[in-house]
Amino acid sequence: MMEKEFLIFDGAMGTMLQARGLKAGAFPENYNLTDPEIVLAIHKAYVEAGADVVTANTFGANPFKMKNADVEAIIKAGIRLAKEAGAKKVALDMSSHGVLLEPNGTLTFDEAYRNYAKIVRWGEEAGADLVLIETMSDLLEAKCALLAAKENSDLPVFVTMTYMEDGRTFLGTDPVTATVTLSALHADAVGINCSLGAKEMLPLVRKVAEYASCPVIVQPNAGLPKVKDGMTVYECDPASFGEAMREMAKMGVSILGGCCGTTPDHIRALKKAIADLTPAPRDVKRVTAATSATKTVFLGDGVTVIGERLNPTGKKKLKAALLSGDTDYLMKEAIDQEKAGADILDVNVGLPELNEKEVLPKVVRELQGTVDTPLQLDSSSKEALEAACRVYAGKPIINSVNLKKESLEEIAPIAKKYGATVVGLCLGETMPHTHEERFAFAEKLVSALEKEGIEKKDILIDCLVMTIATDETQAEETAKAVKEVTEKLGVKTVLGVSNISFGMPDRKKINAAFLSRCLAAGLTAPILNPLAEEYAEPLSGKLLTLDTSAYFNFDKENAEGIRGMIYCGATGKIEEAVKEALLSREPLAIINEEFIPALDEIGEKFEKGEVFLPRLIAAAEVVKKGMDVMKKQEEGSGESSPDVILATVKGDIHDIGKNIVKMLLQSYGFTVLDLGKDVPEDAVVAAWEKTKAPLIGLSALMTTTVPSMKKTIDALKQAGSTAKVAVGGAVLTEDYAKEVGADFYGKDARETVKIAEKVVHAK
Amino acid sequence: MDEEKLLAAAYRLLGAKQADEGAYRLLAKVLKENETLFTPRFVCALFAVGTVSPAVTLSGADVSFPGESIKKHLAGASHALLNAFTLGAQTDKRIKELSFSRPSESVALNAIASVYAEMKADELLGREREKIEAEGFETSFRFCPGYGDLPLSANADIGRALSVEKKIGLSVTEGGLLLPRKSIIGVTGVYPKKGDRK
Repeated sequence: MMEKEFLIFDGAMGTMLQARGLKAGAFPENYNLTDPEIVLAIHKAYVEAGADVVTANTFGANPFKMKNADVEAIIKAGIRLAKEAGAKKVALDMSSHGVLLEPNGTLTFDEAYRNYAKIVRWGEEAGADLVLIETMSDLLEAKCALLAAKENSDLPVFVTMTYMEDGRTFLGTDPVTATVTLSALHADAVGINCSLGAKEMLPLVRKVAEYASCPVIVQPNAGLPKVKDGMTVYECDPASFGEAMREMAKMGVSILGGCCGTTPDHIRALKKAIADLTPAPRDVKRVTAATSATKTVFLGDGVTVIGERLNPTGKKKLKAALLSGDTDYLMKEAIDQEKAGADILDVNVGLPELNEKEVLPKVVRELQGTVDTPLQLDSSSKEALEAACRVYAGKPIINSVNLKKESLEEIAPIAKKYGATVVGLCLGETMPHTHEERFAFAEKLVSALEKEGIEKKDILIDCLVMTIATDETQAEETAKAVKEVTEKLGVKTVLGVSNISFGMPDRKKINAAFLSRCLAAGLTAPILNPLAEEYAEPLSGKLLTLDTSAYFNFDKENAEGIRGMIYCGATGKIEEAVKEALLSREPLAIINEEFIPALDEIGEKFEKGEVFLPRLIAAAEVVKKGMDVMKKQEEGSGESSPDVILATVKGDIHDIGKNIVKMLLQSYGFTVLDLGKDVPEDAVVAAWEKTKAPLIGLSALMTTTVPSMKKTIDALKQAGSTAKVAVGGAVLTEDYAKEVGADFYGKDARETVKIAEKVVHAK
Repeated sequence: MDEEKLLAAAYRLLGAKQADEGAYRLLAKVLKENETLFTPRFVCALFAVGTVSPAVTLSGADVSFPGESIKKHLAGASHALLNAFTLGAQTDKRIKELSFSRPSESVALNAIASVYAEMKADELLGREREKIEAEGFETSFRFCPGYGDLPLSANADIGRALSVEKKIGLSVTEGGLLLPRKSIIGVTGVYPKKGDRK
């Protein structure tokens, strides 16, 4: 990165005015109206000394600080005076409100924003050429001012923070964190002012120069402040000041000026000291990062653990806490995860009863006042994500955007605007199954996000973990995809680890082995429960393997008879066996005497937890093959009307559960009309009107799509539907089922068969 | 910093009357684990006393202290040493964090931080007082807004005169309270030696 020319700012105003009689504690900005000639003379002296930019005397001119003053008049007079001095450019100067923002203090983000917005509009109206936000200690307030300046003017915005000897601001922000965050938010220059003398500031400036993707600005004090005779004095002489500034220019700082204690002589010395230089090129680090106000986490620098526990799905206590507004419980969860080693915390408050747009920013505010860990904002609502991104004191991760048109259109611009790192989930109108499909999705995501102006370094790919319970190959396919995405696309990856074992026994073992496999494949950031002990070994680098084939081997070789084959999930010989049986028996008899008893037996064991989901599915697969044989023989006998209509509701594309239900229902001989996934209310109503099926099954996996379920049921009722409605899906509960107006809650596929038996057979 | 004195004072602040080894050990542990978070910062400036009626004013500073108490305190004073101290923002954050994870330690740290702030502020102010006294003056203890009838709003005046926000990261809320919480703002009187007084 290289800027063409140096831009020289002026030096101090406040200390210059104090030397001319300004009382300690009085507002220097009042001089714009009461003593304009003094202000003008100081500006002119800086222009004569060689300053390109004159900073208007508006530092503390804020309606919040100067309650009884005409702040608009003060600001406009300030800009006019600066212009009158004849500088090439005039900067509108803004700083902090002098009180802390919520939750540490009492000032709300919105009020601070409104004040900054007013100041910026007044400044632009009066003819300012740029906005300087300086002497900031609070990164969130700096962000608030930057957003207000960007959203209320077309002016370039420079932001500088002030640091102590320990390298942090009073509120604990370090220069790398501020630089990464503010450059991501599209500041036109970032840097440091005030706080220290130029010499003391050098190591901090080096950090800023390493990470700033925009030009770097530095305005130090004239040395460290000293107290003499009860008064603060700055003792760095102009020549030494110029010398230290020359060092900074060599580091790649291209915008230079002075702060407290500097005078026109300091600026003259600075100008002279760099006269033979041009801005040095910088080798800027292109990092993948998430920041809080006090910490930067670099992704790809070892394994980054993202804590998953702040998510109400399947967590009764957290759900209750969210519903009652008990943020203490959330804070405790956050702290526990941080202590257990989480580097980043995922935050999801998606509950159908909650207004995410209000709750997510509220939770974010509380969390950032308590923990240092950067946050991953997890929602599919663009309103909630934007509201949370605004008040987040850092560079967040957004989880997630996918290939669906509306997701890309709505969420990518938020990530771009707020400089977030964004998770691209390998999902679109369809779901990927193989590693090749996952890679293709990832490739499309990266190119779509790049088109939206998001750099590759700010993209994380989630290769989408699906349970091995329904497809044994998923662990390996996902791991392969991680490797390919890492190597061929050059982007970093995240994965929700425990999804791999949904519906399986030995979940801990499977999760640990899967994590180990994916880390070996190059996974950057697993999303997991950091308190779960099973992850300790794989996270410490230990390689674990697990042969999962045992889970899927049901003694198929020794299966005997149709019932035996179903029971053992042996598909190999079932077609032959059914064909043979059909020679001597009626199809219905085979269903009633072979298929159904075998399925019942397995189903009962599944209910008791003696066998697990893959076994039930395998049995259903055998039955399906057998049924196909019978169907072929019955072909031409005419289409029968369906017993059950199934649909995954609008907005949701998770259809594994629904497909299992369908398979099992068919195995039991029910005719099923499957409307697919992401099905609009109208389509369900139309299907019922056409078929008058006695039972409708609706499925939703995400909390955010549960409301679509209610809409569908309402629409059915309005259309006069007499069908009973059963609902199911991972986030559903008996209570939710009632709330959305369903007749039945299908806790799993087996339960849904029982419901169908009740409803359809009662017909 | 005299650790024993600090712990004993924190112990008393927590309302303990009888000796309790466990509580004492807890205080010692909490101090040890969190002392690095304390970032004491101090700023002061000396101003000549201007008028005293109807309010006390200082020449060179844009402040005006109403009420009788400060008038009495500065009676006979030639100067006022405005001073401010803060223990820093990280302590507040840790106290809050501990209130969720280990509430007993949160309470202990709160007490320790209060005492530490008081002692450290006294020590730093003491050095300034010694320098002034060495030049032949007497000085008074720190008089803080909220004492007598000096309103809390005086915190904001003193804060601005000392640029506390910029210099030590201390902010005064609209209600006159100080943030970070473990902070102190005060006025110390500087008097000619009794024999020298007119």
